[in-house]
Amino acid sequence: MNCLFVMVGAFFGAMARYEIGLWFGEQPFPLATAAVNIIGCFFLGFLLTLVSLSRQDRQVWALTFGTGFLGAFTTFSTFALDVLLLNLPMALLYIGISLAVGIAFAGAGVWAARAVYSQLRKTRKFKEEI
Amino acid sequence: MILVGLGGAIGALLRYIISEYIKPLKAEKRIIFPVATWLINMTGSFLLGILYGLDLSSQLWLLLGVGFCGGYTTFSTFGKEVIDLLMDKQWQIAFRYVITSVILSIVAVWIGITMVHLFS
Repeated sequence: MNCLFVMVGAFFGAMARYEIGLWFGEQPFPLATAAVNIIGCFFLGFLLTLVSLSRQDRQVWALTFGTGFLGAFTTFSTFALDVLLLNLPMALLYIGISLAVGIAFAGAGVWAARAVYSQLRKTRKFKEEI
Repeated sequence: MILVGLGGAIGALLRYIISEYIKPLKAEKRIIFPVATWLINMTGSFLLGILYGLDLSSQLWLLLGVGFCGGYTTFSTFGKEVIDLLMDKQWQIAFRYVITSVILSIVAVWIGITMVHLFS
């Protein structure tokens, strides 16, 4: 069953990555992959933090949207191939941006999830539900 | 489009199975280094290099390259693991993880492409 959640999420995640790639079109700098990886880092940080804070079992969310959707949405292999195809200054810029901004955004996602969760905990309505 | 989704679903499934298989081994040996994601990203990059070198038809490239390899490897889990290591004050491991992932994945793609060119 878990496998199915991962596969459904990944089916849409990979297609979303491809679709965004089409929007950006052919460019000298692989902006689409960089953008997708950075956005994916933020949402994975956000999602997994919420899941771990939650008092309910949200493992299905982590599998579908985390391992599945965001895992397939972002990609390391295309990143490595892009680097190899760029000239040196562009490659270094691309690596620098992907790493620094990607990791920072993952951290921002963790921070945002903690903030959202503590706000939700304060509101009476959600106190028992989350 | 559907081809990308199908490839991505199978790639992600394989990634999930491998990481579930490695999880207990890691816990048993008390390894903090994110071995599973590291291995997945290296092997996926190597495979993408081979596929790129083979100069596939666009349909096969979408299914295997963009779909399978893209769905199998992951950047978001990599980013989250680095942040977890940093928040855990595991500076050295985080540094080694980032440096080896980036350099070796590029080398892996290059080896993949070169191997195809050597044998064809």
